[in-house]
Order: sequence, then structure tokens, then C-alpha cells
Amino acid sequence: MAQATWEKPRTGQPAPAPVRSDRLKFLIGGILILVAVAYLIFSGMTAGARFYQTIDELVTNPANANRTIRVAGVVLGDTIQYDAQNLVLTFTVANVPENFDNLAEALHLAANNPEANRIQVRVEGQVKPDLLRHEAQAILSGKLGADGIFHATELSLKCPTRFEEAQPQGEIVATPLPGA
Amino acid sequence: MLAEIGLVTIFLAFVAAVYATGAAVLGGQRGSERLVISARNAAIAVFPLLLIATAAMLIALIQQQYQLTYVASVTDPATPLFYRITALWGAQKGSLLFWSVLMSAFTAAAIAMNWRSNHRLMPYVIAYSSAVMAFFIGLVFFFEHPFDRWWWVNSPEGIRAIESMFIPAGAITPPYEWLATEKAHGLNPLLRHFGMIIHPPMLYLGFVGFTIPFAFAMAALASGDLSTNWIKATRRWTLISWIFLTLGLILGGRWAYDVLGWGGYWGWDPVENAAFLPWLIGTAFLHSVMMQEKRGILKVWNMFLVIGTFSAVMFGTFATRSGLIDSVHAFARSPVGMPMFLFWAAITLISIGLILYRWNRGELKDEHQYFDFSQRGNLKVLFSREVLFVFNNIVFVALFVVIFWGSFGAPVITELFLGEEITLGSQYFLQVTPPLFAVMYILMGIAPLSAWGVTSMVRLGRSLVVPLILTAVFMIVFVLGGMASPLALFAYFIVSLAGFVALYEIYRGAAARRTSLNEDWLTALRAVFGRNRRRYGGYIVHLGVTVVGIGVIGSTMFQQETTRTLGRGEVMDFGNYSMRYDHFTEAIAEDGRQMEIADVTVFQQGQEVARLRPRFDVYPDMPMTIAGAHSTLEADYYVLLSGWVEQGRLATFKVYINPLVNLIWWGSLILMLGTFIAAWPAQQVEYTPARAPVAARRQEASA
Repeated sequence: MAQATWEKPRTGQPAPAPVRSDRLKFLIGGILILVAVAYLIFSGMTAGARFYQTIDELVTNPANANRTIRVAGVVLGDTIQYDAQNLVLTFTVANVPENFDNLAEALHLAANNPEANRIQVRVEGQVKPDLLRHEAQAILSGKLGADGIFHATELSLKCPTRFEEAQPQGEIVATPLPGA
Repeated sequence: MLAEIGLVTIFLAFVAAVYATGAAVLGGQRGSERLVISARNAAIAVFPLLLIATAAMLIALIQQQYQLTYVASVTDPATPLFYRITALWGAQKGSLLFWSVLMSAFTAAAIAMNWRSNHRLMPYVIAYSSAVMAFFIGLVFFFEHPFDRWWWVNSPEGIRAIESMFIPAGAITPPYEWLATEKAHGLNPLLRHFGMIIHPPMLYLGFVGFTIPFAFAMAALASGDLSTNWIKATRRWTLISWIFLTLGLILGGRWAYDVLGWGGYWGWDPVENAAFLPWLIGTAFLHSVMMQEKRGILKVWNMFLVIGTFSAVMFGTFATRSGLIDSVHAFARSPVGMPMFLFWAAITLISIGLILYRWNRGELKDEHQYFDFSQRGNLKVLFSREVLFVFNNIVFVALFVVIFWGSFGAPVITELFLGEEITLGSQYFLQVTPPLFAVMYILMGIAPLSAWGVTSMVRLGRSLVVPLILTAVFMIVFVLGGMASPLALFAYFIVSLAGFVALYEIYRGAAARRTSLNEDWLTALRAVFGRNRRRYGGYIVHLGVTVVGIGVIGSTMFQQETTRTLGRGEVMDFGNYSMRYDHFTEAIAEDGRQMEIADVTVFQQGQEVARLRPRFDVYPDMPMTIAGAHSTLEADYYVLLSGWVEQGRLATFKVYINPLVNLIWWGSLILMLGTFIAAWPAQQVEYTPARAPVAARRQEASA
């Protein structure tokens, strides 16, 4: 990984060999800096870690209570309810299988699959996002409540829009020309 | 016709770049000047060839030739001319072509300008830069096909629409009406913003610009000319790339602030971070390279930094374009992911291999010992410029490591080895980066006052007196203004100290000239900047970074937000502001989008200060929330229309107060001014310590 590239060449080898006590100082200084950075990373990770799970895992895994979880699913359009007065947004998302080639197709299939695991989502204090609609991919961060509802604190949406969608290849666009 | 021209020129450019790489390597090894000249000509020829291809694409975009799948994917008949042109970089295929042409322009200019002055490095500069060009042109030609066209092919079932680079057998050109109505899509409305128009070209210029220092560094390693020649030749290229990258990052932030409607400018999204990472390493390099120029030390480290910058550029390009990271604005999954990853890995490994080879042969030995703690007082040495520069580098690299880990390391490693992907949200970055940024600002305040070798503590203390007094006064203003948070005061303190140190140093330089040479202030200032553009330009950059820092602290620590639902004529109070909801309008714009517009009036202390029109635009398929903002230096009052009922009888507004956020944009301007001063060609010989103005030295000695 790229990190290896940034490894500091331990202050190099200064032209005249450094005095032993100098080396010790560099060593101690370097270790202190490394420890400080490592501490920063670990404290940050406990604050910011979000465990990525599929909806299938979320529904079946009992270890999920009280962990901040990141989950993605397809939005079912007719379940979206928004209370603009109190800013309460609820909707249901369904599991999307992990391996797919075409996001739009995968979302469409998942939304129409009655067997797919589903989970109800509740978001509070947020405006209804522009992109929240049927067959959008919702990426949620939050916790699974005892009520079985996923209480999301972060919600981002991705829509396979016509703007970036791959075009179908070889689709029939007209009747055959005469003489074909 | 345009497609054929584009295809042929891209192919020729690819051949030329490949040939230039091979001929340059051979010519360099055999010492054949003829081969090297031939390689040079081929490398330079890539630029006009790609320029023709780009021109063909632009003409196709302007002439609405929707048979080209790229033109159809980013424009439609309703797209105005301006966006037709900018659609060149509106999606992956076009932007890769655009990226390649920019890279070829940089390469051609760098080769032409250094052909005589750095002749010994040239074969390898040509080889490396052409190899990088060949890779990107190859991606365009073999994987991304910007000149694919729509064809109709007859079959027994009916006419099939086929996307193909070449004409399939028996194919006909589809009728214009079909192309324009069925296939032409407008540009993604999120991208229709001034910031988004300028942001990608700036970022690309910054990214591709770093190819030049990289190619020169590699040429130094390959040719064995390990003097500071490569550094001198590329100093200005590095600064120019750095300024474009900085501008690209800032414009991206501005775009997010104006268009994405979440009240912020930086979300610590992996794609944003991918562009920030090369900036961090590049900034470390800009500082550390001075150590090699002036003291002949840190040679290996500088090589790592320049390779690191380029490698980070390549990694960022790969991460954003391949869909590696689940980010809200990652490009779709794309065929270029694997080739890009391999290229990135290969170029990084080869570079590191070269460094180790030269290092092993003892050719990268430092000319001085860095820090000699044994003979003089420890504290003096600890505050020497060398040590402070090393700390500066450590801070930038530490920032790089924690941000890289948070955006890419943690998700990928945990998924590979723990079987469970852990991603890190913005809380991670908000907790991890501030201490490091704090150290950066503290160093910015001290390092300019330090001296090479040892710094006398008495002198350092004396130089700090005036900036400290100014900072203290500044803090009193903040406290009187109602600032009560000790943490914020501490942050403002270290950030402003760095700025006052920069200002005071400029003042001291000018004052010394004024007294010793009897010049007036203006002449003295101009002479100070003219004599040492890099140093004083650098101080201006520091000042800009200070102003940006104050803006970031204010808008991050003291952002306020609320959401209210108002009836027409109703007034809400929030912060020092009141806002009245006046009207609601529905309209349809020229380009077909439907707009829902709320008219609001903002008051401060009973006085009307602004009328805003927060908007909700619905393009077919893509809604957008456009904020209305009342901007002053003190704060932005930022209003979003988030919902409405019954033609606007009631409307819900989300309001943010972002204190000092405009300082970020103003500080950026100062920063750019400083970089231009630093990069401006010197009238005289390049500065070296021995030629420091007598007056400045006298002044330093007497200080």
C-alpha cells in the first residue's frame, strides 16, 4: 500500500556518523511521534467507525445492537413518508445482492423482489433529500433500535440517473427496413 | 468525419508517445543524440495531435453531433453553448481526453524550456513523461472510446441500435431526430455551476502538472545527475501545479457549499480526500526541497516526497475514476480501474526501486549533518530551521497517513482481513486532523523566525514579541465580541500568530531597507519582494493560510442550524437575524426545469439586510436545492427551501449561520497572490543565502 512509500527514512544517514546519544534521541522522538499519531488514529476510529453490513446481515446478526452501522439498500418508493412539520422521515429499504454489473438493474430487481429482506428506516431532524425516491440506493449510518427500526443519523443517496447510465447495447429501436 | 479525425489523431498520439519513450531510453543509454532529438520531437508532437482530437470533440459538442455517444451523453438540444463547451469534461470519457491534452501541453512546454539548460536529464525526462502520457492516451484509445458512435444495423427482428467506434457492416447513420430525442441527455444539473465548470480543469492542471517534477526527479535518479539541477528546473512547475491544485480544491468546496445544500464545504468524502492527499505531500515537498537546495540534505526524503506526490495523484485518479470507494460522487464502475491500479503500482514500485539503487550506491548522501545536538545547546538546535522543517514534513506526512487511512486504508483493509468493512465517518476526521493542523500552525508561527543551524532563543523570543502583542490584541477583540470558548480562543491564537509573524517579517524586511537605504515604504516593499520572491511570497501564502484557518475554525466550531415551518408573512428569529417569509413562486425555466422559489427577507436589528430566493429546482429526473445566502465577512445567513404545502401556504426552511465562512474564500485569494509572487520569474540570479541583501542581514544581526 501507499503508506509504505511515506515511511520516513529514519532521518537518513547523516554524512558523519551521528553520536550514539543523538541516535537515541531520534529514536525516542520518532517513537513518540508514531505513538501520538497512532493514538490519534485509534481515538478517531472509535469515534467514527461504522460497520458496513448488508440488510441481510443486519436482520440476522444479533451483535448489531448499539453499534454504529453503515448499510445500503434500495428505497421502496410507496413507503416514503415525510412529516415536514416535525422533520420525521420514514421509509423502507430492501436488501440488494452484493455483486452486480449494472447498479440500475440490481436496484430494480431488488425493489421488486418480495423475498428480499426489508427494514424500516427512520430519520429525524433532516430535510427530505432531493434524491430520495423509488429505486434509489440509500446509504445509511445509524443504529438498529430495539423496535426493529433502523434509526439513521446519516443518509446519502445514489441514483442511477440517466446522466451517467450505461446505454443498452443492441436494443431494437425500429421495425426492419424494407428488404432486410 | 470528426470521429475519424479524433480517432486517427488519438492513435497517432499514442504511437508518438510510445515511440518517444522507447527512443529516449535507447538514446540515453547509447548516448545517441539523434535518437534523443527524435524522441523529443515525438514527445512534443503528442500535444498538437491531441489538440486536434480535442478540437474535433469540441466541434462535435458545439455542432450537436449526437451520433457521437459522448456528445449525446452530456448534452441535449436545450443545452446552452457555454455548457456544450464545458461538457468536454462533464463525464469520464471526455475528461480523460481533456486530461491527456493538458498533460501533453505541460510535457511539451517542460521539454522545450529545459532542452538546453538540463540536457543531461532530457532523455529520461522525455522517457518518463512520455510513458505517463502513453498510458493515459492508451486508456482513452483502448478503454474509454470518446469517439464511439451510434449506428443502426438491420436485423430480421428490427433495427438494432449499436454503440461502436468503427462502422459495423451494413450500418446506417441513425436519423437526427432519434438521436436528439432518444439518446441526448443534458449535462448533470449538479454540474451546472461556475465552480464545477472551473473546478475540474484546475484540479487536472494541478494533477498533471506534478508529472513534470516527477519526471525530472526520476531523470535525476536514472541519469545519476543528482545535483540540485532537477530541483531548480522544476521548482516553478511544482509551484504552478500546487496553485492549480489548491484552486481546484477550493472551487470544489465552493461548489459543494453553493449547490449540494448541506451548509458545508468539506465533507471528508473519500473523493474529496483523494484530491487533498497529493496536496499534502506536495506541500511537504515544497518546503522540504528548500533544505536540499540550501543545505544539501534530505535528498532521499525529497525523492520520496516527489514520487509520493505523483503516486498520490495517480492513486487519487484511480480511486475516483474506478468506483473503488462508495462515495456520493464517485464515477460509475468503469473499465479503467484495473489498468489504472496496475500503472499506479508499477510506477510507484519502479520509482522506489530507483531510489534504493542510488541510495545503496551512496549517491544520495547528505552534504551536511542535519542537527548536531552534541556540541551546542539542545534547545537552540531543536529550534533550528532544519529541525522545524523536518517537523513540518512530519506533520504533513502524518496528515496524509491519517487521512489516507480514514478514506481508503481502513475500509479496504478491514474488508480484506476482517471480512467486515469498517468505514470512517466525518467524526473520525474531525477528531484526528485538528491536533495535526494545530501543530502545523504553531510551526508556521515559529519556523520563519528561526535560523539555519542554531536559533538563538533570545533572538527568537525578541522576534516573537511584536506578533505576540498583535495576536493578544486580536484575541481581546474576539473576547469582547462574545467569544467564550477557551478551545476556540486557543485555536484562533495559534492561527493568527502565524499570520502576524508573516506580516511582521514582511514589515521588518521593508523597514530595514527603508532605514538603511533611505527608501520610501513602497519602494522598500517592492524591493523586498523583488529580491526574494520566494521567501516573501511564502509569507503571503502563510497569511492566506491563516485567513483560511480563521474561517474554518469559525464556520466549523460555531455553525448554527435550525429548521422552521413558516406561513406567509410569518417571521422567525434565529441568531442575530430575523427572516420573513414573503412569497412563493412556481416557474418553468428555459431549459425545462421546474422551479419552486420562496421569497424571504432577512433583517438584522430591525433593518432589512437582504432579500433571498432559496429555490428548489426539479429537472426531469434530478431535483436540486439551491440555497439563498446573505454573505458578510462576519457570517453567512444560508437558507434552504426544504419543503412546502399547498402552493407555498406553508414552507419549511432550513437555516444555517456560518460564521466567518467568507474568510475561506478571501484567504484563498491571498494565498494565490502569494504563490504567484513566489513563482514569478526572478529578475536577477536565483537567490542563494550568500546573496541575501546586505540590509536584511544587517537587520537580522541587529534584531
